[in-house]
Amino acid sequence: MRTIQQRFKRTARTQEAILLLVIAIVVTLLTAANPSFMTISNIFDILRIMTVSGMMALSCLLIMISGGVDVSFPAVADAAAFAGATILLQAHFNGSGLVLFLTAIPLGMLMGAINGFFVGWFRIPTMIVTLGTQSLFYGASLYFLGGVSIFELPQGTKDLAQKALITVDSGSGTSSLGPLFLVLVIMAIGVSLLLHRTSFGRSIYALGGNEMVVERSGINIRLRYLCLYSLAGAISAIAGAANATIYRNANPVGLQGQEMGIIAAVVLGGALITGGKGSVTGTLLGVLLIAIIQNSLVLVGIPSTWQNVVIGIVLAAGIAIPAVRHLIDARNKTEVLI
Amino acid sequence: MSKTNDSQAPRTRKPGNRNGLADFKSDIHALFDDRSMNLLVTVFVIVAAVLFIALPDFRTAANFNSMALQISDLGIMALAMTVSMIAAGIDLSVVAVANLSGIIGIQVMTSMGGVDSSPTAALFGVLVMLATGTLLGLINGMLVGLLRIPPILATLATMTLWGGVGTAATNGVSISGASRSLTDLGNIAIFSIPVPTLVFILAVILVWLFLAHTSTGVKTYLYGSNAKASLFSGVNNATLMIKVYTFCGLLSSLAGVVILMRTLSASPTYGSSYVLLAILVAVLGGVSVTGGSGRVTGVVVSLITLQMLSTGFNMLLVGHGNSNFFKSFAWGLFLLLIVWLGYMQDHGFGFKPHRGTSTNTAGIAAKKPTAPATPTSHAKAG
Repeated sequence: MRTIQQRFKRTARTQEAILLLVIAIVVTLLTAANPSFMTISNIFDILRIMTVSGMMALSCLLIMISGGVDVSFPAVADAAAFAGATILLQAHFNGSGLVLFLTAIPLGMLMGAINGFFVGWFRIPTMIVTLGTQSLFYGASLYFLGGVSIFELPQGTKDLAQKALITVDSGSGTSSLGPLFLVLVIMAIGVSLLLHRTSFGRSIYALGGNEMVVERSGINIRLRYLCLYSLAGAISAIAGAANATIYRNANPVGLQGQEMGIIAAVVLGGALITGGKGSVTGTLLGVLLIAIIQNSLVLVGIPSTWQNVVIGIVLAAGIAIPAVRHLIDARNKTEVLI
Repeated sequence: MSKTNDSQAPRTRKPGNRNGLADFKSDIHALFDDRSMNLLVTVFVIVAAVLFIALPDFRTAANFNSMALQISDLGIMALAMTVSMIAAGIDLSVVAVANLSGIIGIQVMTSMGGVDSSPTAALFGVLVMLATGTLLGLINGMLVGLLRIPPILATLATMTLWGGVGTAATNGVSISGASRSLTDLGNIAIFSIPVPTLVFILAVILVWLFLAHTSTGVKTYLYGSNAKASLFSGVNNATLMIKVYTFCGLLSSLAGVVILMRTLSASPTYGSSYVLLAILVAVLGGVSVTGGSGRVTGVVVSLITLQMLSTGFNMLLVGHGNSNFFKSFAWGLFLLLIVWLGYMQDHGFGFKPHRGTSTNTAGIAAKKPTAPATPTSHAKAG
């Protein structure tokens, strides 16, 4: 009996449980304020917002677990999708919508590998490297490929945008959810399995915990960083291609400025910014909370200009509350705090 | 206590106890001992020489005037970034604090008569702006110092929050209405130096005094290189962080004042690329990305170098596409190149595996071959 109670207590104290509670409260309040929040079309809207940001959050999560703060993933996503679309346009390709993804992924991996090279070989903090590469990737794609959105996407991409995974017929019309949300779910399961079921995944946590120990245990950490950042680049590229598909144009700066919101979502999801801790479930819940805020403030009469205030407050609370709890825990144990 | 200090006088020089020419020589020597500084000055001289020879437009008084104006606001933000980076942190909220204090300043001045308000109103507005920046910096400092939140996270949250408050207060558009007695200063030059540049020079002196001539400055370096050592040597780390980030906030709002002078307006989205640029300026100026080292001279030289490059790109790329896009590309490349060169200086030009985090110690040891002899001679004497 006691063990069940203890286990319940432990679960209830995890970030995921707290986040779930917060989301439940927010949803209840929003529904009470405006019943149209709980309509199926609004829920699909939120899930659509979540699709691209959820993919980027997975990329951000992987890097954050390894102990780095990546700010280049929107740049990688945009540049990979934009360069991919440019290639397809030059080749007059007009076939399947999958090809945009297949073109973007190697480009994203290449850009991720550049990040990984600088982090792994030169031990420069990820934040500094990715601030540089973010500027580099955006600058390169805008200057050398031209800064104009590409609307002439392959026919397959346009078809993919109109496909529906689920279509629900509500009173006022049909609302549908695209197949790309399923891609997010599959990617989330994939990343989760990678993190918990493979030695590569465990070593990502170890890198975030103590890099030196990982190196001493005989792992080639440079190679690990290179693989990890390439993987994150590939995930970002999928996010970029998904963004281009959903909005039916490849915008070279379509996701610019979203990095801080995504990092906020990942941190809210319980990932430690110093590395070694983080979960896919928490991250997706964090992204969901931010998506609800972005989508629904207008529904309850808060002007959209207040969006960042609310996100900022949620983020500040999400950071400060665990910090205070940690501080109290540590004080009870009379630890020396550094 | 003072006696032991005196016996060590040749090694630990005190500001009040200077030895004229010898000290000056050792100062100069120390300046050239800093290898990242040598690299930077070399780059500076090359860039300046090439632009002087290649571009006739570059060597005009009007161009120097405009460059001096352009470095002022970014420069002050870079100084704030420098201080936080020396303390092994980072202040992502510099631009947001500058913009928000500008917005608040304009609203105060508007309520006191707007564009035609008196110089007293302008002065009051500026004081309110500086107070705002100090308060916002204090909040950062308390998050970092008292709650022990990593600086990158704390300032990320406050950046989002203050940016959001600015957007909410202005509906996301740029607002004007700053007192003319303040904005006119943006066009005035004293001794042919524009006033915004003078404010920047003032900030440089302020930061230099803080870092090199106050005990808080010295503690900042200590904390940056080893927070644990700092704690165990009796430094109150929490208070120190509060002081450091409050100072950063004050500097950021000073940048906000300069932005008001230059653009006559305040906007929640002004200078969104300045966070990157401020970090670039600091890193290029030799501020260690892991904290504990960096100097104001380097930051100023790197700032001027980047501004010259920026102006040079603008002049060269007329008619060859958008030079802003190229600049973004070049800044990114430049940042990576500089951190790579810095790494190579520390570790030698090779791809051998390296363990641990060595800093400039290798360079210093190589410069002073006589150093290892001293302990042996002492041992013999003992």
